[in-house]
Amino acid sequence: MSLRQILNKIALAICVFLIVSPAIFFFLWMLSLSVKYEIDNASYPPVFIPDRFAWENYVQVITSNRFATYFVNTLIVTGSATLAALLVGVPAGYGIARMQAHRSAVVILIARITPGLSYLIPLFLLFQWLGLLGTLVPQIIIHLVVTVPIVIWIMIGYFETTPL
Amino acid sequence: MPEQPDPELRPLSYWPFVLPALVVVLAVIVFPWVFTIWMSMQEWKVGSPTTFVGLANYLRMPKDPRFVEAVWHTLVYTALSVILPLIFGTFAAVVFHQKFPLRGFLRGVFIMPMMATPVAIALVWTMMFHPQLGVLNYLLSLIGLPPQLWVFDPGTVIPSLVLVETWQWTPLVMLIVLGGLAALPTEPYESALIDGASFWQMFRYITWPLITPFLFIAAMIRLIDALKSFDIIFAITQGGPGNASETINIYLYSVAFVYYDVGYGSAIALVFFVLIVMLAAVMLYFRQRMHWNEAGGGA
Repeated sequence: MSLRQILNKIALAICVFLIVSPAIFFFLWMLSLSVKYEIDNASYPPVFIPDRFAWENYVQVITSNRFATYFVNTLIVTGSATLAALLVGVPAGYGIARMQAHRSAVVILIARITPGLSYLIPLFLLFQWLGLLGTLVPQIIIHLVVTVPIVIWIMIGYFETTPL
Repeated sequence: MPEQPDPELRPLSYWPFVLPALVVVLAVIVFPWVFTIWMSMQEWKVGSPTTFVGLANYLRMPKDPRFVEAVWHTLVYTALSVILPLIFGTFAAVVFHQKFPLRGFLRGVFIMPMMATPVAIALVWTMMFHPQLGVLNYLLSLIGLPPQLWVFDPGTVIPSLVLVETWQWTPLVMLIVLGGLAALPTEPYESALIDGASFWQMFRYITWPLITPFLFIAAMIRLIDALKSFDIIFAITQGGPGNASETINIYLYSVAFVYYDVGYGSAIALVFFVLIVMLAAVMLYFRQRMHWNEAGGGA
């Protein structure tokens, strides 16, 4: 019996290793690529731990002033898109759940299924017409295509189970 | 689904809640749709005026060999990237449902691919796929297999991309199935143990039937996402070599934004949408039938 238990444990350990190793290998390799010089990255057989580390790769990313701009832009877009989606989606979820207007929920499902590319041309022309191109506003609004339906969807489920 | 109340009874206080969302949905979801339908019936090359051509753009599609090929690529790519994550994800969920040391940490590591940025992932995979210098061929050489051309050979490019897709999205299936496993009752397992059932028998006759609803949800999400898959394919191969990995989404992009044939591109977008809805409907139909069988068969 105890032999069988040991065998079971070994089998489990092998399974866990097989499942997790692709993810571990990938991210370790990504890390390794990021601290190597070009010459080490292009060598064969591949070098996993280089003799000399290229820490300046990281310094370069942080010191280039574009990086700061991109980082701030990302924060603004993410923050505003999340806030806007909640402001718009939570009340709508409440209204739909309270009034049991389930047909309006179908529109939301369709929005989830639609290929993203088909929004591109119409919204581009819309933003051009509104004179918003070149600002961050279009990026924030485009996120609403995805986030508003999800917020409404989740909130309907939440409000339906909340007692009055 | 609950009965919908008479619209006349809907109080005025309903509208302030829904109005903002209605405006957003109309502007960013409904308006693009109506506009796309209108564009699909125009001959519209960017920079020149539009002319109404009726259904000509739609009639062009079956005669366009690149489009027909793209449909096949999409179907093969989707089938593989639904089935493989489902198999591996279920397996991973069953394993992660067992108790072992470091389980929480390893689960976290396992779902990391899902949280990473697609373009960053694609960049690293592209380097790993490199026929001469790539680490994947090195790993193959370690176990004595010949080097592969991966994404540089028309014959292996779709399986290679499916490998990336599977690697990234198996965790999603695992999470859904794991949620299902956690919700399972323990009584059937206890009585099965007393009856001396093997691990495989318990999986086949207790776990499997109980988690099929969760597998359906996972398959549905995977189906829609795999059909729409764009960033990984575009960042790694851009549909190449030649057009061997060109799916409908990639072809749609080329038509609309490389050849600037907006009318035809819009028509493709609409046909693509109908295809997605049809495949999703087929899956829902099978799900309904399975339920009917369970109830009718008395199993």
